[in-house]
Amino acid sequence: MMRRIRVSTVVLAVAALAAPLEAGAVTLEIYGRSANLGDLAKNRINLADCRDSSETFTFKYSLGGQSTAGKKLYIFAGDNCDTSECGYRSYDSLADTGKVKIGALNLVLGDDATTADCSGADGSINVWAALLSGTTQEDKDAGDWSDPVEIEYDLVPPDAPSGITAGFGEQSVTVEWSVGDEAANDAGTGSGEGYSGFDILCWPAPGAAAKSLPWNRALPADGGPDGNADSGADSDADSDSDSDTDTGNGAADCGSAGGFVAGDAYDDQYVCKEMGRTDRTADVGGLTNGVEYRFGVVALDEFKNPSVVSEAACAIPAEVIDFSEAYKSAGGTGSGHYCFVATAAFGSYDHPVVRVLRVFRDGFLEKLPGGRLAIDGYYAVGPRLASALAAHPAALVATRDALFAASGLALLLLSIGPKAATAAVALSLALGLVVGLRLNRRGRRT
Amino acid sequence: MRALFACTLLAALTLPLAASAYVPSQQNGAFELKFGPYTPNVDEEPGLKKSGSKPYHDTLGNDWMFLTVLELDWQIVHMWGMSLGVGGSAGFMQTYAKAKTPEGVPSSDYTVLNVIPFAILAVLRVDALADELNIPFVPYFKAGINWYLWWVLAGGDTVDKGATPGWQLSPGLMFRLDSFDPMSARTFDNEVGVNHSYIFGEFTWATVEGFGQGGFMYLSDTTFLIGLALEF
Repeated sequence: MMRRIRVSTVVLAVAALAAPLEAGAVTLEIYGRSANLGDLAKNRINLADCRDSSETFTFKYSLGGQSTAGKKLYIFAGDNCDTSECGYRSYDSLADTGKVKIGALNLVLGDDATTADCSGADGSINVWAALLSGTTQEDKDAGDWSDPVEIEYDLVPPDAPSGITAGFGEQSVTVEWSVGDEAANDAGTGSGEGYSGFDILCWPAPGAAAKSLPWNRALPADGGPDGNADSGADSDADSDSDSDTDTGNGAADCGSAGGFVAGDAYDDQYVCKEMGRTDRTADVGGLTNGVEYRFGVVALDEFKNPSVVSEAACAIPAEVIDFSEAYKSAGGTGSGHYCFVATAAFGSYDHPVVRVLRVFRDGFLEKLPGGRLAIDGYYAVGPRLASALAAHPAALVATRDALFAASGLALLLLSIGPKAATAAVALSLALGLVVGLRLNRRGRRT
Repeated sequence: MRALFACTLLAALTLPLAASAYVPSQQNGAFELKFGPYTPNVDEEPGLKKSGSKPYHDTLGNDWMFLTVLELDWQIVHMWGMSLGVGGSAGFMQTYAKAKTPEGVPSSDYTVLNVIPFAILAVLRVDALADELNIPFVPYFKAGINWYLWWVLAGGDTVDKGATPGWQLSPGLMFRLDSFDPMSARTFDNEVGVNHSYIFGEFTWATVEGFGQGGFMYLSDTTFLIGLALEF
């Protein structure tokens, strides 16, 4: 059990003269942690570590071959045992080297503390090993002490981010947030606290089979999914007051039932994206258009203490039109990855056959040696071929039939992949060459 | 005797001047850094114009791109107060806007058009005004072939890319900065090899439409660039 002692000033004077607290042959180091819940540096304790009564530090000591007759090993923990109380444990039967375990909670708050006491403190403590011959205070100043091992602790979670907004995109949402006392947090206060990152919480989870929600509605009269830039208060520029059925509209319980709730303790099962310490915006992808998602943000400090869940914001991903789509759908023919001939033959860039050929170009042809050259060559003549086809309907029909057959072959090649297809073609050529040569030789004989 | 004295005195006075006379270094080329607005005429493509569609205007708005260009010229011939050379240039410009839903509501996704304009140019500069008449202006004319690479981003991903060939004509006027501080200009030449430095303005008629072949995104514009130039 860790008990408290105070070293007298008289003893301190003696100790100072004899310098008994100087490093001696006794050494101490951190050997390991039992769980290290926060995935921290070995010498750091966070709130989760403190609240986990099974979280222990294993210290490895060495007595440097000293005689242990009539002596005990003491492990002291405190700020400065010369000037203030230090907790300690003593061990009787000693090997020259060995390990001792002490709970994280006991190191920080003493043996009388319970997990309920884990809050509101940060700082650091030193831990020493000392080989002493007695149990009195004076004895403790006459023994051999190790160098201290510093343990840092932070039992103060950061403030939750605020000002959460969620703006919809196509199968994505952009979440933005701010932090209250950013300067204080970033500059580091207390035990050097600053943000180490932010976790974005999503509900429902991206990629999960999104349940079709009753309010999965058509776009409102103003044309927009009302999740755009919603925040805790209904501050969006949505002026319609009649048909807006957006549940909660950015309030803490907006979106579908279930999942996380604003103000709740951090639960990593809802984390859909991890962001860095300086990030204040996150793009969450892999979402389903038309499904309402709820987002929250949790701040993590340098000790990986999580804040509570921030206020929530909701958004509904929706189809958006980028410049390329607008340009192509309006009839633009700029030669990007455009299938001139196939589009001319089938009349639409989005015709299934054209799509197959596009996939074949990007997923197969481009990966072949010389494939890029072939594609570039096609783009050099493609527009002219397409123009010529447009002027000759009979050729257009023949081209359409040929491309239809080609798309079947493309699907076959895509299914076996570029490498296997190249090997198959090479093998076929080799076999053809061998058979051809033999037939040629036989022909000569006859 | 008087004549001898006069000759000696003249020699004594002119000798130091002759010793320190400025001999410009050989001039081989020019470097230019220029900036200006650029608004490609995407919506002028015949198919788009015919249908009345304005995809560029509708998705990217009316803002012009900020064009930055680096140009390097090799001045092959110097004669009759002019220099004739060839050059190459490359630049970059970008415009972006929030992508909208089919109903026109802006989303948080950005759609971006990036363009890298390349050019191979013939460059004629008339140095005679500045060199012979001490009028610090150098008119010039450039003509060349362009190759504009473009690509479109949506939601951070490249969704389309391509290239459009074309041609350009660029008359311009350079103001020779040497006239402000001739001594520094000479020092600059002696120590670094920069013969002259300029600020300049340049009109550019860029017709980047695939030479009328079709199948190319229209990226033409008429614009005015300003910049700094060094001849070396």
